[in-house]
Parts: sequence; C-alpha cells; structure tokens
Amino acid sequence: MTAPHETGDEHAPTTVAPDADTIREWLVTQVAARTGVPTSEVDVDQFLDEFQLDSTEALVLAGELENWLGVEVSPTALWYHPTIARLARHLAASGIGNDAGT
Amino acid sequence: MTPAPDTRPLLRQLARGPAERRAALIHPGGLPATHYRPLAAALAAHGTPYLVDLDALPQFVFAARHGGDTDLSGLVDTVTEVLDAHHLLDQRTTLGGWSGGGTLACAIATGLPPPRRPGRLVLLDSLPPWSGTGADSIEDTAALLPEFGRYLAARAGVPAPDPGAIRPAPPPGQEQANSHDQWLWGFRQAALAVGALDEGVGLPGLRKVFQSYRWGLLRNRRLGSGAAPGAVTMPTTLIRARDSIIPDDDVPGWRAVPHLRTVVVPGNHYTMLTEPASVELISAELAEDTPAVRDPLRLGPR
Repeated sequence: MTAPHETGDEHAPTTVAPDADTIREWLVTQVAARTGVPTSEVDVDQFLDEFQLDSTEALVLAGELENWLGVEVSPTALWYHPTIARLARHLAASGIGNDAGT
Repeated sequence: MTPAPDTRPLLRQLARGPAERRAALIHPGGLPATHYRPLAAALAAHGTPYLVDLDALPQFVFAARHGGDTDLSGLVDTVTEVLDAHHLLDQRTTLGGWSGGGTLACAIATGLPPPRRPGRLVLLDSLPPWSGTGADSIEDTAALLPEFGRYLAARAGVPAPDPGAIRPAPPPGQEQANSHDQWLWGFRQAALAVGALDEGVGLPGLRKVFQSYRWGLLRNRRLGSGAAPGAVTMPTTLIRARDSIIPDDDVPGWRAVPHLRTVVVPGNHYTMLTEPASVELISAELAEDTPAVRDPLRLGPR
C-alpha cells in the first residue's frame, strides 16, 4: 500500500466547504494511493469495500476525510453511501452533515 | 431508511462435512471471517462447520461506530432465529464463538428450552455475559494500546508490538498535543516498527480506528447481558489464549458455571484462530463427540 502521507495532522482542513466534485477527487486520490492503482482506474461507482481496502483501512480513510473536511463524518456514512460518488454527493448535499441515511 | 449495502449472509456454511454433527460459531467481527478457514478445514473431518457473522447485522456494526449505545436487545433473538431456520438448535450442535461471539452464544444457549439447546458450548476467549465489565476498563488509552497492537498485528499477520516500546510521543509540530494523541502517536511508531500499521496511516486515521476498536470492545461486553451462570446447564468449555484478553478478575465470573472446564491454547486473543497448534486444540474441543463432563471444573492454570 502506498503512503499518501507520513505524519500527523498535516492535512489542513479545507477552508471552504468543498463541492461533490472536489470531495470525489479527494477520495479518488486517497483510494488510489492506498490501493496502489492509478486514479484513472478508480471506479467512483464501485463499492468501497470492493477495493482492496479492509475495514480498518476504510476507517483510516474516514479519519483522514474528517481531518480534511474539518468536521466529523457520521460513523455510518460509509455504510449508507458506500461508493465514492454517493459519499461525495451526500457530504456535499448535507453541507458535510452528519446524519447517516438521510 | 436506505437499504444496507452489505448483503453478506448472517449464517453461512464454512465447509462440507458430515451432516450428523455440526459446529456453529458466532463471529463478532473485528477480524475478517477468513481467519476461520484453518479451523473450518480441521472441523470438516468431523462435522459441518457454520459461521454466524454478526457483521451482517447493521445494528451490530453501528454499535461499534456510535460509542456502543445501540440497542442490542434483539440480537439474541435474531441469531436464535437464523440458527433455528437452519435446524441447528439441538443436541447435535456444538455452539460456540470467539470473543464476544462466545459471550452471545452463552446467552443464546441459556435462553433455549432443553430440547433445543446445543449439546455443548465452546467459548473462545470470551467474557461471561454477566461479567459486568463495562466502559471503565477500556477508557484508559495507555492500558488498552498493547491489546490494540495485538489486534492490528493479527490483522496484518505480523508479530505484535512490544508493549514496552509503546510510549507517548508528540506528533510532529504538535508538542502540546493531548495525552491521548501522544499515546497514539507513540503507539504508531511501535506499530510501524513491526509492520502492524502502514506508513500511510496518519494520526487522524489512527484516531478513528482506535475509537472504533474501543467502541467495539464496549459493544461486545454488552452482548448477552441478562444471562445467568446457573442457566448454563450444558457441558461448556472455555478456551483461553495463553495471552488472553480476559482479565483475571473476570475468571470468577466463569467459575460460577456448572460443568465448565478450561483449556489454554497457544497464542493471543487474536492469533488463536490461526496458530496451527491452537487450531488443533480448538477443533478437537469443537469436534468432541460426547458431552461428558470430565473434570469437576477447575479453571486450569494459565
């Protein structure tokens, strides 16, 4: 697995609420880096658990996403919105909201 | 509510084996279900192994993501129903589980009328349902990190970090970080040294994994609450890992069970399912034919 970064909280939170495209691009970059595949091969409509990401790695990704967004992401957001495209749309539409399944 | 995307079955047959004897194991998540492959292979010579995967239940998964405050009162009924639907509730079945799965298995067995009770219970490093071990025991970050290290190491298939090497350290540029973060950062270094963590895991990601691990423990310690030791009437074996997760002060909780014996197997809580010597001993217990009580049950030395 490729290291996208190596230290603590160096991913500064975004200063403005990102739109769905920006969130999708960030997720694609992260998944590509963690699975070692080119970003062009990351299918945004594929279930996240179908990438070579186990549950621990998915939690790591969620933690890094929170750090980047600067807000807590609902712990169950990845369950209800299990693809990159759906998760990005959900987070953007809810103003980076925390209500899973809504 | 949006349908859950995870469509894995709650109960699955792990391997083909003689149909007249069955072992049904309850898996509480944490480790991938693939960790049962060695055990399933060994069991198939004696009977048919089944796995109840609690990660197929949204309320179970969510309980580890919401601080363990999800209502789990229906879990016993849900698992009982699926075992019933597969005609696995009778004397021909050995019911068991690893960790919290064993705790739930115990609670399920005690709630069944005698004709539908399993012939034996085999519990793999499980806390008793009545142990009362709650949040207090897992609130201390520093105290929990060695076990967290064993968990991550088992997942990665590497040796566990040396507990002595886990020391607090400030993350880069964060000399004033709180104690929790300093312990996590120090832990990260110890885990990286043995390959239990990937270099790509930063502090935010590690916080999330640790939080979920802690909440998962809290959830699992609430499983089966309400069961009483006197109701465990079937022969029961508690298999403890040599490096067990069960605190010594929980052992008396098991002592109250009639017809209990203990077996100690090599490895720790997370490797006992895959270490060959441990698998051999566990499969022998699960495959044992006669529900005879052999010793008046002493909890053996560790």
